[in-house]
Amino acid sequence: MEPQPDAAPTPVPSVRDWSELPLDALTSVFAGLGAVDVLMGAGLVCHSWLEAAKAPELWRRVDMGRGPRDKEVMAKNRGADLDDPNRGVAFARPSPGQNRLSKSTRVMCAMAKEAVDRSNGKLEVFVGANFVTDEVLTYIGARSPSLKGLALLSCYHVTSQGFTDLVTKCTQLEDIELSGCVGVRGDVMVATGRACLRLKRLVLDKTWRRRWDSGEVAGISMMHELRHLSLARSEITNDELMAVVDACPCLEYLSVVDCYNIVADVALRAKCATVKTLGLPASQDHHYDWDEFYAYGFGTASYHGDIGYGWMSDDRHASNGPYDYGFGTASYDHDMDYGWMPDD
Amino acid sequence: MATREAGKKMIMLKSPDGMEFEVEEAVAMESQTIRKMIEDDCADTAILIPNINSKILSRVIEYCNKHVPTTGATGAAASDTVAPAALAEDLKIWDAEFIKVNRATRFDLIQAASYLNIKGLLDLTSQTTIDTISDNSLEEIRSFLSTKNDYLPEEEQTIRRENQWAFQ
Repeated sequence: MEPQPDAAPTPVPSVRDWSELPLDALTSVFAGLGAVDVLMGAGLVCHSWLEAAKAPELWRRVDMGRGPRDKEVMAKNRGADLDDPNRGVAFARPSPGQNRLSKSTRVMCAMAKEAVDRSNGKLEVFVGANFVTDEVLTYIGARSPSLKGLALLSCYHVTSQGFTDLVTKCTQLEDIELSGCVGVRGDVMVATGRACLRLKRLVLDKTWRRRWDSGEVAGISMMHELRHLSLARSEITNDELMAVVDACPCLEYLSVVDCYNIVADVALRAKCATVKTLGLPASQDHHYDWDEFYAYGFGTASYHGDIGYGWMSDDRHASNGPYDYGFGTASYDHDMDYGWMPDD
Repeated sequence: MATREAGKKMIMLKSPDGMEFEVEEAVAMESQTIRKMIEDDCADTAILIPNINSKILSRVIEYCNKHVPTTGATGAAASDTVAPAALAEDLKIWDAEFIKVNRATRFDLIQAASYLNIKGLLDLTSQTTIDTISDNSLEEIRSFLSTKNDYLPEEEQTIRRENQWAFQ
């Protein structure tokens, strides 16, 4: 057994100059930290750390809005976001403009743009929770031709316009997750289906009471490469869903939990025979409980933030790896939280 | 190169403070740097490991001994029969104990892992550093790690301007 390090058997100086940490070690450290941690703390410590934090490969995957530090930033000066549905006032959307945003949202957006700049055109995955605006999406769209994965969680600032801007530019997208983004209408799926011919995974969770937009069905029906489709709490009907299954012959995973118009009948099950993992509403005479629905809906920001961080915390350490189809096991945990278990 | 036990090739590692460590070749080859030396036939006699003192080198060898595939720390080739999940769990617990060292030693281990190119050890030491500095402010990180702010006043101004979010 070696002597305890603290015993310091040899007269070596006990203080090390951490600015001399080897570059590969620094890169490994930064890769394990969240974007906000790097941008606000570790990446500014000294010359060598600042340089290491600018390496584009660190910024291929940017995940903002879910870490503890991110939440701390967003909690500061909170309350000035006039379009925040969690404020408890009328949900009318104000006219767009930066002055509608709280300081904390603007700070997060500024950091997101810096992260995009540092990726130097190599951004592959962007995950944003709560703070993201149309402006950020347009910024990403103009600079990220390699973007393959996009997840927007409870981003109530985002509108159809910003989302459409991004998908029409980022045509390599294979994976899109939109959860609780109440400003994005279903018809953006038409633009998405047209632009993103490689889309393999689509997760839409509205968490808000809105009319099912037929544009959404039409759009999804253009996504012929789709492997994984999850539509939580949408108003899609059996006929529409069967049309989607016909149009997407590669579907391996289909989940329509809490879609109250869906009746899990024999015809639908037969249509979905080739889908390996199928999640249909539990019972045929499922009565939709609106109280329960609203209970989910109003908690949207913190609810998603919490589970979201849970499943991402493991992912973050692998952030430098090649893009992984699907956000890891994300969707599975995500769906399971709504009470649905995969068949296998 | 000396040999001990049937089929187990041994090699000698030397630290700059004159200590010699006889280790199995397979253990030494956990280091990609040493692996390359051996494969390039640059390792006829003892391999001198510069910049890594005997205290750190012995700990690195301890790590490699534990992590070399199919041979546990006891030297018995028993891990074939142990379930991989149990083995991974055992390694995790062992790693957690291994990395309970002071910051100076951790720094030396990171440097050694980097120089010797031992990915597992680099990941382990980096992760501990991540845990130390995440969620801390710039000043807290500097004081934790005894790192000096080495910016000139005008550089400091530029950094504050370009990274306003960190200085509010």
